[in-house]
Amino acid sequence: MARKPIEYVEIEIDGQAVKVPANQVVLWSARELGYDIPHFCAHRWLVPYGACRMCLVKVEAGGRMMPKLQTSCSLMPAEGMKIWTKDPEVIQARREQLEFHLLNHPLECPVCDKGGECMLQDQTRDHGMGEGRFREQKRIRPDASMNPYIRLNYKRCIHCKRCVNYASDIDGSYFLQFVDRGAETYIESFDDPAAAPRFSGNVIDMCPVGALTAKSYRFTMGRPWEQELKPSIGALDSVGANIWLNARLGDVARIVPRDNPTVENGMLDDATRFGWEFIEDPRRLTRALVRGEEETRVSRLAGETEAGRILGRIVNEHGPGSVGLLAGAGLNTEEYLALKLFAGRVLNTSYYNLGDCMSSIEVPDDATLATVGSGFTTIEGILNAATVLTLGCDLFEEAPSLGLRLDIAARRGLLRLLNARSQQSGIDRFAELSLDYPFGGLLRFVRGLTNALTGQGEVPPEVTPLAERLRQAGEDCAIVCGDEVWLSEDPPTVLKALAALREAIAQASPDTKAVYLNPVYKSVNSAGALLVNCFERLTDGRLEGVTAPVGCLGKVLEAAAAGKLKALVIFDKDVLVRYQHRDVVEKALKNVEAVIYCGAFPNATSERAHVHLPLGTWAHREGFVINLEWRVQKRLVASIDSVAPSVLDVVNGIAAAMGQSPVAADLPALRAQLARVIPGLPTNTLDDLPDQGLPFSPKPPALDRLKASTDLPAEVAAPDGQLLLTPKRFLYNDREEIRFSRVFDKIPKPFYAFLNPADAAKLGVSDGEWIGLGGGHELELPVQLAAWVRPGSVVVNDYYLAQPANRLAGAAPAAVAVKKLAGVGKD
Amino acid sequence: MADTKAKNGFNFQLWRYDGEPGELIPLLQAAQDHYGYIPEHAIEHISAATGITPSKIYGVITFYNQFRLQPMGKYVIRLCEGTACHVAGAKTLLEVIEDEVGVHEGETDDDGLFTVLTVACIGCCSLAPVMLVNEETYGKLDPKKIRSILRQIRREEQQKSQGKKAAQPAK
Repeated sequence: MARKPIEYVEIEIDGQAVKVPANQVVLWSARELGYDIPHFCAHRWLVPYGACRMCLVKVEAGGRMMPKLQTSCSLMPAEGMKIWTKDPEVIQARREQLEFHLLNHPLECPVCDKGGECMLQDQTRDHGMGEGRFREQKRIRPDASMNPYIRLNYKRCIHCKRCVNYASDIDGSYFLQFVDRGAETYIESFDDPAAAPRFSGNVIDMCPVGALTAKSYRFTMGRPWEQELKPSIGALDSVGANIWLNARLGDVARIVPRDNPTVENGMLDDATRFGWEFIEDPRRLTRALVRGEEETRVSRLAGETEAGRILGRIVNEHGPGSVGLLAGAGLNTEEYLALKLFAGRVLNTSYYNLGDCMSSIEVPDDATLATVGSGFTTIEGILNAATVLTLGCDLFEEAPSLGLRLDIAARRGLLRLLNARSQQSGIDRFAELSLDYPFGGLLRFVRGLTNALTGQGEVPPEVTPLAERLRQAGEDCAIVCGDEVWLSEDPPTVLKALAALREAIAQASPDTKAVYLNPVYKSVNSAGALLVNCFERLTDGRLEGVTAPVGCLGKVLEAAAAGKLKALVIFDKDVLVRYQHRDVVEKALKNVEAVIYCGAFPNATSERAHVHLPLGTWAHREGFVINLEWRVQKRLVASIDSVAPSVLDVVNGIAAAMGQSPVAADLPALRAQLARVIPGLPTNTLDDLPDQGLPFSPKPPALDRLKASTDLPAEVAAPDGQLLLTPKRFLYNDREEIRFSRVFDKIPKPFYAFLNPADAAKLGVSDGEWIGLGGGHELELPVQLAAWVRPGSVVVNDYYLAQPANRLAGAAPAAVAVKKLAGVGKD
Repeated sequence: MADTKAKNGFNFQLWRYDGEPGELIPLLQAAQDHYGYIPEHAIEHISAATGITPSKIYGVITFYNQFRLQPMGKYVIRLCEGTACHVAGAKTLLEVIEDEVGVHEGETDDDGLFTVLTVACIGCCSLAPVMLVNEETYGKLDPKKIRSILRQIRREEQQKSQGKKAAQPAK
């Protein structure tokens, strides 16, 4: 790590000698040591502000008593400093200060949603006067909506300014602001109604009183002490934000951060925080759907029997390798193992693919597995690196909490952020250098950069400024790559090119001791899926009765399209919309005799299935997931009334219907097999898994030396009159967590064709007008002008059910014809 | 004179801005000197030049009493509410002014003639109760005196505008 080791100084607190870090204010050090110093405005994310004066302490420094009490939130310790936190003078000051805070605060704790987890309430009990002496009119102002998620109960505000400082120093959106002065000060929202909020919900946690409350929780979801808390993992990105799923009386009530400083540091994005209504949405499938002559709803058991009958017949008639199995990346690791065993022992096939990152044809080779399975660092390691290079990703959309933490570190000058991607992104704002290249040009860019650093092969001129900076990468450097890798035609090739870049940086920058490569995966458990998919090569374990997969997603689909597979079993993966080559999927779904789909909600793929079996959402299924730093994290089942089957239930049900023995008796049995390769993994109950997760290193094949190609692929460019189609991952898309949660109905979602204003002017279209993309207008979308779009590109949401981008993006990069439509398109 | 004014002018200040922190308030002052108040487009210009978000600028404007988001009247009445004037009945006088002008404290009347403000102390307590109309100080006020002062100003203004109207056809 590039950080200097922490220096400690010895100070005295309440007469006790203690050692505290020299670079941390006294308030936090004292609180860590168990001294109770009350505070409101200080927050560990924020720089000291010193507004609330609650943290006053008596200080003796340099042998002299300081003339006044000092705010410990802004007091740096010095050797020999003496501090008193329980002096009568301090206690008196606190009490008086608290009386000021309570002047205008209403006595409505019994009806306030914050009651029970309110700092003001707690501190009034511990340090307050017990009664108020203020008899005058209290300050009042009507409540107001701050944005679609948050409502301000103005009269409860104590002007600590946490939320305003958060909006300016952390979030950077400045969506909240103090207006007016003194006692009349109030918070006003400057939220842009056209933009979807991304990190606004964190102010609800930060508010030390009940002023800022979640609209979806206030008044309706009960009190904090009524909630039953279960540790779980946010499902939207591969950081795996640690969350508490709160349930009350059998219903999910809210999601709050579990504050794992090593993973997401309590910084949840709004889609994760507010996206829980889908768990109990009535549209979730609770019974099986069988489509024969007509669509019938049957019991889950009957559905499994039907699926088993079909699959049994096909396996009997066509022998081994006649069924393909695909699984999305939202499942737990035990469930992947269950599916792998199911494929091997029951379906007797090696045409299976788990997870969604390797959409390529061939199974990742040794070099690829070595690239992803070693040489990575932790999230802390990324944030502590001297230089961070983000390549081909928009972290604010793909891994918001990681993006925000990197953004803060870059803003505070803690690291150098370098950035190259196809479109401008939110993280550019504090990057030292941001370069762009046409979408699909990532491989060319990476190889060009490597060549520039090694001095071999062709060097495109645009990489030179980045190469110069990488030659002085500092003590350590972390490369973070993202979605453009997974959207490329062959992710393994790009990953290997990135591995070569990693080596090139290590050699070109003399001071650099370590260079890491951390891919941001597509989903919460992509790493777990990869681990189980390539179990034989990523671990030293062995599984009885299963074979290694013959290929990746592309291979399975192509075999099905070619008529080689007679049935497809798909678990929770909208492959029709999410695989780049829609034609292949269409053909595959048409050419197989049967499609068995298992998933919680209907989607484009499930509508083609002959049998759609129900499955629980992530809140219904216990298991562990592995995030982008290969940290094993637990997900426990929330205490909610609705019951839903897990993957193991479903595969055991199908196996039973096929007359086979169950894949595994229960989850502990599966976990026991994984515990052999994941040291420290508890088997019986995941309760024993450490709260902060379990760091884990896979054992990929060892490689002596990577043989990297230096050939540059041709430059990507759209012909005249056409634009480069760029499917982009957005935080708000059509995934079921968002589509089936009503709270997001009011959020403006990025279902547009984003055009650079220059291109729009050429086409003669303006905001809100519709354009058709492709020769036959395969996509029809309203236009939104955006300066962040690279000229010559048209950016579309990569997961939009009404207008799926893969109708066009057959082989990325794809140039498309664009035409203005007279009226409104066929949305 | 014209030169110094240009150099303190709003656009000149904006053009001169070189990213130094702490220049927001001089910029806002320049905008207010130029327009008489801070119009919305000035906030946008300042935001574009400095990179400070409009919300933050708005917060600063509302924090300081010296900045106005509405144009001021031609005559700004500043009634002193300091201790001496308060004791001498400034509260009643404010009601008289409000009644005479027809607006509340802090507002400007419809024809843009008067703005009514109160100030803490203007430093001539011996004349209490006292008010300023633009730069002119009026002391030892009573309701009658106030009405006659304000009516006098209004009459003069009416004469001026009628004089203009009368003068125009002759040209």
